[in-house]
Amino acid sequence: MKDTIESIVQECMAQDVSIGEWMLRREVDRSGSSREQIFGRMQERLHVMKQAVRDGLSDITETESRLSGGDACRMHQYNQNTAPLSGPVISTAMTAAMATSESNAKMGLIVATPTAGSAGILPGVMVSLQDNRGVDDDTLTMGLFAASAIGYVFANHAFISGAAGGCQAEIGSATAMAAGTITELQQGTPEQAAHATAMAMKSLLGLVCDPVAGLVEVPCVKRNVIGTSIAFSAADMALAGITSRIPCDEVIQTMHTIGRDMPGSLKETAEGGLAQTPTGKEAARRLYQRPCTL
Amino acid sequence: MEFDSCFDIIGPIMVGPSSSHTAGVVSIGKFVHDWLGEVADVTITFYGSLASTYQGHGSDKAILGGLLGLSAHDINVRSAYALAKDKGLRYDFQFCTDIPGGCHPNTVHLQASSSTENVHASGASIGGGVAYIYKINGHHTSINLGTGAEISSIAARTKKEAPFR
Ligand code: SF4
Repeated sequence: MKDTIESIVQECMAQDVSIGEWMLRREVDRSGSSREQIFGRMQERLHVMKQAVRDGLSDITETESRLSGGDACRMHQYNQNTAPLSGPVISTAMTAAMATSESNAKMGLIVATPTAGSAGILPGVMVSLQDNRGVDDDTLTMGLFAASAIGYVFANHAFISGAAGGCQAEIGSATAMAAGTITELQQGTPEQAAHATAMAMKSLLGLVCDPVAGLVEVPCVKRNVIGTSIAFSAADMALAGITSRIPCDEVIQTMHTIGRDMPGSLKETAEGGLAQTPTGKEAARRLYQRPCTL
Repeated sequence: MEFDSCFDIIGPIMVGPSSSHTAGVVSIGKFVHDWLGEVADVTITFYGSLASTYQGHGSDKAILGGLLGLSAHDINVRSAYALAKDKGLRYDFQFCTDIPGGCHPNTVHLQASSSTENVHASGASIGGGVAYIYKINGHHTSINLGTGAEISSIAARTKKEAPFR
């Protein structure tokens, strides 16, 4: 029997534990490793995320394709010099997400969360919660366990890659994981975390995967950035006591159905969407003129 | 169940930008490195999506890095060309944007040799950092190189199996 969000929430309530704690215990049971070892492995991932943000912020170069790069630094300066409209929590998260996704595009070291293409969102919200709300590393690490529990349900009941289910499966899953995680880290109940997850996912249903020239840059970097603000909005709603009228597992099932019905041209093949705009096609032509050499 | 561990979701730690076009490709190269012990000479053929997008995804650096013995989480993959020069690795790239019949879009063929032996291996990087080797020296096989895989012991074990001895 595959775990569902509903079954996880029920077990958390029965055992009076958080979603993160539930996932950590589950990993101890399935792997046979000690709690300390598993916690340490997850914390190592948090450290890699934070380093990727630092690297990305100080790097103003463009990528080899010249389709992205340098924007995290621009965003960071804007945050320093003005009071950004979206406030410190969201603007820090946006900047950190951008730094990570830009690092990723430049072959920097990142943590796939759940994929490399969506690797900016969770680090973005983690760094922002630490900088703006003083959440410490150990608590953030527990947050990563919560995120992995949510992602694990998405992965087993729907998809987590653009090639399989469109961008809704990649940016959508990552944003939904982040929304639930923020809710839990802000003392929301497991049930509230499930609602935040559902609300974030609902707002990204149907999003297609259409990377220009097949590269994880356009529109990917900015979708990571905006994913953070959707995650915070969904978490705020859930913490206010607002519920998703469609239960989380039904939303995940819907993502699966939509992804299955999505044409192949909109699943990472660069044969549709933004990749096929005049500008997108021009970029692809500039980058890849490669006849068979065999 | 395909995804079971929390580290299947939060992970792998890898050099970007793509788990399927970068991380998994390193593992295919590393398998061949570990099979031979050391690679002196190699012809690399990228097919399909790898042939058309290898530059933007750094798949060329990824395969060279793997052939030099690096792992997908080793930042030195970025400097694979310089490393290959240092170590005197002779390499030649071939590209074919067609996908060989029945193969995955991210397929790579490697013809590699050390000072004492040769190996001809075909692999595919199927997403999420997972790769598999489906042919070695003309024999069909199915070796999964998962994200946490101990590639050196997998290579050593496979080499002792029947058709490859
Ligand atoms: S558009 Fe495709 S490649 Fe880009 S982030 Fe979305 S799913 Fe990933």
